[in-house]
Amino acid sequence: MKKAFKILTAILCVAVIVGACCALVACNNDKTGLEDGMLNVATNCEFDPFEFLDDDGKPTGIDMEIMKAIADELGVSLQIKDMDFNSVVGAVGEGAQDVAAAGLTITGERLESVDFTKHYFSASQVVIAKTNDPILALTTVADIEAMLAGKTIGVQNGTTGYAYASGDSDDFDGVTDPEKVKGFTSGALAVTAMLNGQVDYVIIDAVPAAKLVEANAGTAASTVVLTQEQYAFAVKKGNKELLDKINAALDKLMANGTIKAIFDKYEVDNDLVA
Amino acid sequence: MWDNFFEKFGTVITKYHMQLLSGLGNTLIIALSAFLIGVLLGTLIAVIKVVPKYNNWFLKILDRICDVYVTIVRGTPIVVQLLLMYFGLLAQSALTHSTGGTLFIAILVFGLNSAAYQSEFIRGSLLSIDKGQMEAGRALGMSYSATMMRVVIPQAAKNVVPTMGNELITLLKDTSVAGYITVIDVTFAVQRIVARNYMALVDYMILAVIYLVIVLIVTVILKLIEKRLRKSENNVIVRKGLFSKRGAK
Repeated sequence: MKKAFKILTAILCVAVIVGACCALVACNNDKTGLEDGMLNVATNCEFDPFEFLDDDGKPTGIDMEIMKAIADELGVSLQIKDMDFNSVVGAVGEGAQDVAAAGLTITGERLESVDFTKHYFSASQVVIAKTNDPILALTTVADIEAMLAGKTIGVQNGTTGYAYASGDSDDFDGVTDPEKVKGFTSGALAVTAMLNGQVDYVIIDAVPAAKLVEANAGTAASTVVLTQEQYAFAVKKGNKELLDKINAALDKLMANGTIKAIFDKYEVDNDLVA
Repeated sequence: MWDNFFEKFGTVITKYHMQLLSGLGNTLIIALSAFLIGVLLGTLIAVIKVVPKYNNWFLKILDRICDVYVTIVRGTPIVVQLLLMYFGLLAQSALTHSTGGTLFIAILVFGLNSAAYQSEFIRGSLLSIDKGQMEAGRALGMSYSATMMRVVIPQAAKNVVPTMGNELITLLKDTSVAGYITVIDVTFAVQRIVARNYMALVDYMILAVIYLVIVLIVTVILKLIEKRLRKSENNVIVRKGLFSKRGAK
């Protein structure tokens, strides 16, 4: 009985070790990520109109359509993985997905783990407040930042909005104490929290902000842009082949008007393709 | 992704140790406070359920209320309870407007949740004490509550320690969802770190190790407590050991 136990344990240990080794080896040696005939896209479908779920629960939006067009150009099929925004860049950085398309701003910190394609949109952060809030009447960035100081601000986790508000980044100084910055899983939840009184203001990208105030009565977005940002797609650092392929496809799509058509469909102005 | 793993491990810990410690602090505060609430409220509920209710309508109503409470709390996931409280029931209350208030809400929800489960453990433990103990106490002239407090509950407490330890460990790990309501526990803290350095593998490994270490510490403390409590006992398992080769002492 004792001997049987020992042998069983030994077999189990070997099985676990072998299994672990197999898992590690299977850890892809894919060069571009396209060898499997699929472009695996990581995104967070809580960023209307760049990526969101339509009424049937399918991922759609500006980024998703651009990705579909690029996949068609590259001759592969599209696989969209919807996940937590915090995980999106990490997933691509580790190679779990091929490319990240989630309204990602090019930041110095992100450049340390991923490579960005050329940018396809110029974006910025704005403040969302309840209608008739005095901050909406301010016209300069300095005034707005003065008003934001010391307030509780709602943001979406992992976004540049969060970095801008808290200063928890090398790119921004922050406008209020980091503990006063509340992170929510989506911009919509942050706006709900603002209407509940749980946060004073919300800081998020301008285009989604417009959609959020449209959907939530009693809110309004400031017209003052707080930052100058560029959206681009991200691939794993060092994956030059895929980067070049996507850039080439992007150039083609920008030149033949596909990108403009997509932005027009969602009624978003894009200076780059006007 | 495995290259320079240990190097990266060290870098992340040295660079972000303040955030990790503060997150860990929140995790421990929530877990321990909720555990305490669970013990107190759980014992109360267990006693209400165990006490004989000779036509006492007040106790019968309390009993029913406890039943409903335990059923609802055990029937819904804790994440749902958190979301419901913060974004629903307590959304307009001033509690949600401050960081301290939100922490309090988290403790409340985890505490109420734990109390429901603990009430069942304690109730089981109370019922497992030999009926003779209560009879002996009553025969000596002690009132029901006196016998409960001085004879039955102390013995039941000894038996329930391993399960309580389990509950504390479960609570420690359950607090990992506190991030859904903006409470910065250690899991949320690590997610924010990942959002900054994008080294998901290293960061989440660190998170797992942190939880492992805390749980191991709690387990060791628990074993010590159990050993102390069992010193007074005189049963085969304690004296002979379950798998010992030596013959009976």
